[in-house]
Amino acid sequence: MQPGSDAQRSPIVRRLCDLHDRVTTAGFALAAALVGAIAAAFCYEVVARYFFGAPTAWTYDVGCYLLAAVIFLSIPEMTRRSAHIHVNLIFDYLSPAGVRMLRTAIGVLAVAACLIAAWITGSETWRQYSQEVWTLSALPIPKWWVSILIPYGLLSSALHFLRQLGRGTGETLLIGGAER
Amino acid sequence: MTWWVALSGGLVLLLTLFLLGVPIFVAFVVLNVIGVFVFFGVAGFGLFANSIYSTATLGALSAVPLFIVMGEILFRSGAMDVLFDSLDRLIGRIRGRQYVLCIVLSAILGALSGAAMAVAGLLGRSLFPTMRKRGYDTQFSAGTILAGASLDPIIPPSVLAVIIATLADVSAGKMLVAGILPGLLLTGMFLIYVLIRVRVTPSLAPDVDADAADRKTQGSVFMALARMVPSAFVFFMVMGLIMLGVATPTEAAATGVVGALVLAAYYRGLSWKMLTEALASAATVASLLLIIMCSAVMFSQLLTFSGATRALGQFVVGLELPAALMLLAMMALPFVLFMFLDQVALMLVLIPIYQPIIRIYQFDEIWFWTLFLVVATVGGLTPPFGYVLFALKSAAPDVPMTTIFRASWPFVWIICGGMLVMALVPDIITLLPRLMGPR
Repeated sequence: MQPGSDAQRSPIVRRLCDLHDRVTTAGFALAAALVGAIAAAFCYEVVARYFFGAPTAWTYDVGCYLLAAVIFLSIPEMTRRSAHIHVNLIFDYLSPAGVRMLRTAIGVLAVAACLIAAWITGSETWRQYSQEVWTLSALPIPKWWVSILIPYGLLSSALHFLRQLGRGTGETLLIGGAER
Repeated sequence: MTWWVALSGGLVLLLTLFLLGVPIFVAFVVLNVIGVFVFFGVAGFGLFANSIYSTATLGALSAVPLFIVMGEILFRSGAMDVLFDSLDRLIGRIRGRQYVLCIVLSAILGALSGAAMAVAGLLGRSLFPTMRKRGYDTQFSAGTILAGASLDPIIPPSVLAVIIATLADVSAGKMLVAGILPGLLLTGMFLIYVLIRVRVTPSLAPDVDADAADRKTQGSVFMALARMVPSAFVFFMVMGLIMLGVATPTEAAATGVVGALVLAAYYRGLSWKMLTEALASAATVASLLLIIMCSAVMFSQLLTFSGATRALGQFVVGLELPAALMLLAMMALPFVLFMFLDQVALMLVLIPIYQPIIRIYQFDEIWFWTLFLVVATVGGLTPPFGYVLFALKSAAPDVPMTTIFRASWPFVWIICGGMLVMALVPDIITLLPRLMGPR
């Protein structure tokens, strides 16, 4: 067990972390399913247009909305896996202590950036909700139905970055994953 | 604040964050939040939120996860193994036939998927051990695999081409089609180079008789050709439908997924497990790429708001450089930077800076951005941080990294030579998009 790992926390924190992980996993599973839904929607459009002469007005918009869902439902899982793309040049030239310090600093920056971005996008989503803003498209829907996924993805990512920070030092604090 | 202070300050901050190892999407969020705050104050944050929303709901980008899932299904279904065996039969009794097989197979794989890393990994695990076992030169074998893999983002379908087209605001269909002839040109150049090298240095390849002794190289030519026909069906479902004007690139990506599923079923490789893994893999790769785009698009809007785009255009006009020199400079910069930085991240920085310059010099946009795509592809091959090099290394861990580095350079220079030909004969890039008409 790593120092500061989730398992060492109080039962409430552990349960919250567990819940967070479950929501993250479910969100990612939904995102994967939605990739299939995007493919199905666009195929349906081609078939409807060329075989039945009845193009739909909704598939393009649905594809767009689902793409946003795929991205922001997947991002927390990518953060949990430490899979975000980053450049890994400097770590080879630092001492272990230097690497730890740098990773801590990067973790703090990542938490702050994701929290601020979540706040900005959350505020905009709230504005869309309170002013009843609808999408300008062939299939208009309340814009917040889609945009609420953005603050969700960013906030959940901020929490995963924070949990990685809280898990302590060294190997447990892997901020980046898909390295150049 | 003057434009050059804003631009250089922003770029220095961004590059510093990249080099410190900050996740790229986080670096762009930091830059853009600071940029919006400096230029507009807190009241401008809505612009940032809307830039994320509008990028995440950009229809053309739906093709990205679909192209990835199509390639994943094909890789996992066994269709690639059938292609491999069929081609192995079709390549004649020539010295160095495995080098030829590697390059031709890569070009065909490029027409079925668009991921250089996946192809380098696949060939590194399957073809590379066979080549070494048959007595082929390790370094030259590694070079042909790297070269072959580099064809994949150029030959459509290509995720990178869709991303460039979206960022540069040009037709994604034309960008995809534009890659066909350059991909074939580079394939031809690689083949000529390989055959010349083998003729000059026979020790690079084993004796023809020993090489062709494998049972896979025997059998009916007709059957080998027949086994390849179903794969052509997938290519038609994507590029055929785009070129015939039946489907948009995104729709064609979706029909390509259906084609890949049909092919997987035909080869009895279709299963629920395979499908869910392919979808999860597509969601993973697409979200990692697209979160960077979502967080970065505001950068190009900030360049416009700050006046940097217009001022940079005026600055470039003032330089009065000949078009050829400007083109060389605009390709040399990413050639160097792609060695060290992520492709998509660098595209997000360079494309908005390049757009006004392209208009000033009246470069054909499809021609220019296809050359840019080729440079980006080279970035995956160039030491010390080309990601395709590491994909091959992970597939063949016993081969020293220095061998892989040395293996890549000849093919990097061949691609540069190919770019020179494409620059001098623009029709190689623009002919097929022109035949598509105004779509």
